Amino acid sequence: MEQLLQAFPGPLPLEAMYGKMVFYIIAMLIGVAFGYTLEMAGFGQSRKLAAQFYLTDMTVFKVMFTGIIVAMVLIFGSSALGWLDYGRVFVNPTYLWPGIVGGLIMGVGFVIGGF
Amino acid sequence: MAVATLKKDGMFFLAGLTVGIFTFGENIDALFSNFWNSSNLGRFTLPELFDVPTGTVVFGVVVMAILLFGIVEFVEDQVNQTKKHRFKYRKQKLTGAVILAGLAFLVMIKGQPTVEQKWEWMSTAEQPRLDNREVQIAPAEMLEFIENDLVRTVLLDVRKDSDFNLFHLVDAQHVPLNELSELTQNEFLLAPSNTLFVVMSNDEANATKAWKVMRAESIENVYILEGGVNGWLDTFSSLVHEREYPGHVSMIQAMEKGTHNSDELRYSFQAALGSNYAVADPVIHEHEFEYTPKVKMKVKKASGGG
Repeated sequence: MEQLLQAFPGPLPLEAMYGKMVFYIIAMLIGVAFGYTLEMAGFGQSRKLAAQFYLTDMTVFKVMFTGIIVAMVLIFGSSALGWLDYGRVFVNPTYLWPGIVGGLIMGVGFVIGGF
Repeated sequence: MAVATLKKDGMFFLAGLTVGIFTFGENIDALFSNFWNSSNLGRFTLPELFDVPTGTVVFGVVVMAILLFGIVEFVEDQVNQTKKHRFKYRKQKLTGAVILAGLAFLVMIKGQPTVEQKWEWMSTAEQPRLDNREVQIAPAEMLEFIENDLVRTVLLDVRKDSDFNLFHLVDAQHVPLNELSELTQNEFLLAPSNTLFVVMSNDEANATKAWKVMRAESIENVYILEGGVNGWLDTFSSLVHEREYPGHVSMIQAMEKGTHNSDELRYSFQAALGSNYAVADPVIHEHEFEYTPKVKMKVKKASGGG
């Protein structure tokens, strides 16, 4: 099993394995589950999101950041074992200064807009 | 999400977002295109920024995150003037933190696979392709792809400086073997899927090493120039006309076969003209070449954007 995973590392080519339809259905199920979870946790309310900036309720920050670090540990863990080919995971090219300016605009927009 | 559940503020937010996206898209090219495309660093992540191994960054970020969680909960309690976080779910939170930090520590200890390791993992599938000569393409096939506008052909020359300066193919990029892995990660992985990489050395030994590195770094469409630069000169130097390029042909002399080691240049050049020799960019149309076509372009699959 280990050898098989290392010889043919992920990401899983779902589309090639099961065809377009199954691929779309899986993507949709994951999306719905993600949306449902966020909504149930109250992350769809602008009050809860704006609370991050008033420092009264940091739940969103903690949940999102936890999601990021768990994913990071799993991705690089599986890459270390050879189960995932990190080279085939798309990484957005960095445009440093436009990125910084864009991030600031988006952040301010989040605060003003409430989401 | 707020829109999906029909919240009014969500609707307004979405409308504003749409207008903003439209305005941005209509104006960015005309007004700010220089800035928009500036400071491109390629595939650049924290390990490259701090020049430390990936595992160390993973562990560092996890520890930082856990500390931050502690700090924001403290701040939250201060702002709200409660002691909610000090007592609630303490055990669970600590357990989670320890597990995550432990895993991150293991990732750091284990380290990311080296090029050699990655090649070893894939060698059962890839070594036969080398042995059956499925990836060594004839000079004539490469010429065909250079002239094919639908395919972006990138020629990578891994020979030493002096050989490259004496003679190289037109538009060939000089990449020393020890820089290939880094360049592949930062640049070549982002190349469009119609890019065909061809690596070449004087013969094939170093080009084969380069091929393994690029395969290990997950480049799909990479091939080796059959017979290397020597093979290219064998095929084309006699076909470039002396009349159209006076002097150029007689300045290149084939040396005796077998007087050199396998990966050495078998031709001598009177001057280091680089790619200014006519044979570096041959225009040959009256001649039909026979070769076995080997290139099978693969389109990138899976792994969408973020």
